[in-house]
Amino acid sequence: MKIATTYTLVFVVIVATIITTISLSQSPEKKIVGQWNELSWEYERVDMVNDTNNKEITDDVKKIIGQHLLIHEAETWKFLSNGKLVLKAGENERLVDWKIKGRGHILQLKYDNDVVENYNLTELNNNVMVLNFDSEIQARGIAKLTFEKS
Amino acid sequence: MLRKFSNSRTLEDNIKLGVLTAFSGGMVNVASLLIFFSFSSNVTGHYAILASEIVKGNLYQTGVVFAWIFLFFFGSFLSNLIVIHLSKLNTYLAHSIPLILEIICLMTVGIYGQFFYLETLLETEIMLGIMLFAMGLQNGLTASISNFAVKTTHLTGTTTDLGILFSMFTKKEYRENEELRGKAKLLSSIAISYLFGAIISGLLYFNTGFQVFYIVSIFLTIVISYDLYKIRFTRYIMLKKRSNSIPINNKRPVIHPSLNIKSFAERRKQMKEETV
Repeated sequence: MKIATTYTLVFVVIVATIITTISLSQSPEKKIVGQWNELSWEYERVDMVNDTNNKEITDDVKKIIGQHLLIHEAETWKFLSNGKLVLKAGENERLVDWKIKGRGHILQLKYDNDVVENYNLTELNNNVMVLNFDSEIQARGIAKLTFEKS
Repeated sequence: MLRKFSNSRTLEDNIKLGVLTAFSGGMVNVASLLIFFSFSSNVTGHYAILASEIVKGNLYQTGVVFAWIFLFFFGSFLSNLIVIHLSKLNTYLAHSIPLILEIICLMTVGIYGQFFYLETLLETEIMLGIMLFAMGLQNGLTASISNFAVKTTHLTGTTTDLGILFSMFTKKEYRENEELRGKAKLLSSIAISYLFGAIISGLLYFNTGFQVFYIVSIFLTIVISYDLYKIRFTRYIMLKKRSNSIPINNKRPVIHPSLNIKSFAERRKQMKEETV
């Protein structure tokens, strides 16, 4: 009887700790809601010729990398709480669906006829969001997009 | 597969159990990776992720990943708890209950995913938790009943053991050791079956989606039914043997009662008459 009580107590403490930890913090799904402005595009696996420290890419390279991607021209991303994302590029606007998957580390965008793009949500806090192109599930993507919350 | 326990199990029993459960483990893992972007049959990666989330200070993700690891642990705990406490009553039942629970978990994920899933993060986290619990149940069961010889939800230990065994086989004395050869056969079967299950799941997912979990449940049902069939078949054979047996001495002895009350009453009446 004593051992059963001890086990139950330990399990209850573990479950309570988990619930407290989760409820004390904000889910990435809520954290992402709001307007984000694009700060930079960096290419992480580029062959550097002159400046080895600078990973930031030019607009031309950005176009080449992102030519098949939905987001390559958007400068402002507005995540709405109803699962919609407004991509703004100057005067142009585009509405797509967004979901967060895994443990909150994958941002999935759906548009048109269920075309799906996945991005690694590498960092997400109240001020900064960092996305990596999802080339492989457990590997860092080729390009890094940094956003600032406005 | 499920009737025997620990050392009474043969290599063939372990291979059958290992192959079928590893196949379902591989299927579940790849399905969860494709649907939820996270592994569900192994927790080594989750430990690394947990450490990384702690370092980053992501409290929410730390809690979620810790919950997943705990659910895998709890599945294994519950599985062995059932095995060791119910084996005395009925070994087959004790070994089947964890698999029945696993089927319930996988069917829940399959049905919910197919009909109700809205792709919210909370749903994803809960469904992954259920799958990790199911895999904990499976791994706990197979390891428990096979004396830790069969582990079918992840291949780290299996690959390590295979590496060791194949290096041992460079020496003739080990190569000729039947026990070691049997172990290599078992581990290779598990690894191949897991990989095969993973490939099948990956191919099926694009056509079936969440229904892939129904297929896994069918495999687990085969594991349970196989032994049920065996038990019934063995009973049937035994009954058949009994009815077909040649009677050697079928004359039933007639037992005469030592005290016949009726005759006693008649005798008493007779004596009374004589006295008169």
